[in-house]
Amino acid sequence: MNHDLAAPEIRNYLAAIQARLAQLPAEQSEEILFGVREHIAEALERGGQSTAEILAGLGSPDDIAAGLAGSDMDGSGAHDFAKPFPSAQFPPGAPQKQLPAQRHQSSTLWVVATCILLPFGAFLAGIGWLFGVAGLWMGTRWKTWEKIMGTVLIPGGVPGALLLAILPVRQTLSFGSPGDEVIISDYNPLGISLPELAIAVVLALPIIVALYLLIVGLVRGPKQP
Amino acid sequence: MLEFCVYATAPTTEKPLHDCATQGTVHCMVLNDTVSTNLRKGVLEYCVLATIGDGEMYGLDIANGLQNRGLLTSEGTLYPLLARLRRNGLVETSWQESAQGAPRRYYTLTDTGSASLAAFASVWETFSASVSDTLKSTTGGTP
Repeated sequence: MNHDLAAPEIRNYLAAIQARLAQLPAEQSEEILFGVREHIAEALERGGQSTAEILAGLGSPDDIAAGLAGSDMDGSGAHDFAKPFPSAQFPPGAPQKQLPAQRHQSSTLWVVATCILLPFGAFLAGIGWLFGVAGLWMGTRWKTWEKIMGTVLIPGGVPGALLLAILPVRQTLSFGSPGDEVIISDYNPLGISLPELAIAVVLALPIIVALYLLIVGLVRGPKQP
Repeated sequence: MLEFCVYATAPTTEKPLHDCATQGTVHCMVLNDTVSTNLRKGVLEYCVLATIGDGEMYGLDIANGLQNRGLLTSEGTLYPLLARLRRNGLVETSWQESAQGAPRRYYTLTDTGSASLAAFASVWETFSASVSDTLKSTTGGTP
């Protein structure tokens, strides 16, 4: 009996079925394969049919694999075969892959606190901003590029921006002599003072970014379970 | 059981009547295939249970029996189905020594399997009678 099953066409046929059942738990695919193997062996033993006829009667490996889904269309056992598929697809890897989704989501309070600490935290003894950055990177509602943007674009938040914006102005002022003032007004034919515009942009940037992070964080909140 | 009825009726009642009347024969044959495939899907597992019945059945004999009646196009699809029925506790397997070669695996119905079959049989009786009556009634409107 085993000798018959060793024929190449049967071996190939069984291997093709096995490959198509790969996503099932080993125990289940073994049970199905065993049935098919036994079917072929018994049919050969009874005689009257060629190997090719027996295999044709069984149907293609695709038919058998399709039967997994097809035999479940009715109500009672409908989900039995459907369920094992996703979970059985990556038995050891699955828990790891699902980790981000299962991880505790940042609360709304977390998001709001982070978005306040980032721009204004530096007013709290200077270290509030660091807590804001920590909150940003530990948060689960922001993408990596948003975390980088939040960290790089507003180092120190509004106070940091103030320093950045005012220091250069002070320098020009400290060099300030009647002659310099004339030169500055010469460089701004539009009548807009570039340093003032720069100050406005640099000051607004941390607040804009923080607002963006706040909105994005709040919108993403309820979507993810 | 009710779900089964809904599923089985949906694709079968209207389409073939309309399409066969208006379209060519080839299209009609394709539809016949679809109809019987859809119908088979819903009832196959109960036909397996019925084939096993009160006895002990060998896989190959169940497959041959169903195929001879035109209920199973690819015999191989029986084995995923049998595996599921066993997991759901509707059939159980036992091993018996055979005259030659490895021990053979036989299928029998469990109590749950018998009850499930009986429930299906009673639903099927009224269901198929209703379908037949509906198909026979040539005039529209309420009977």
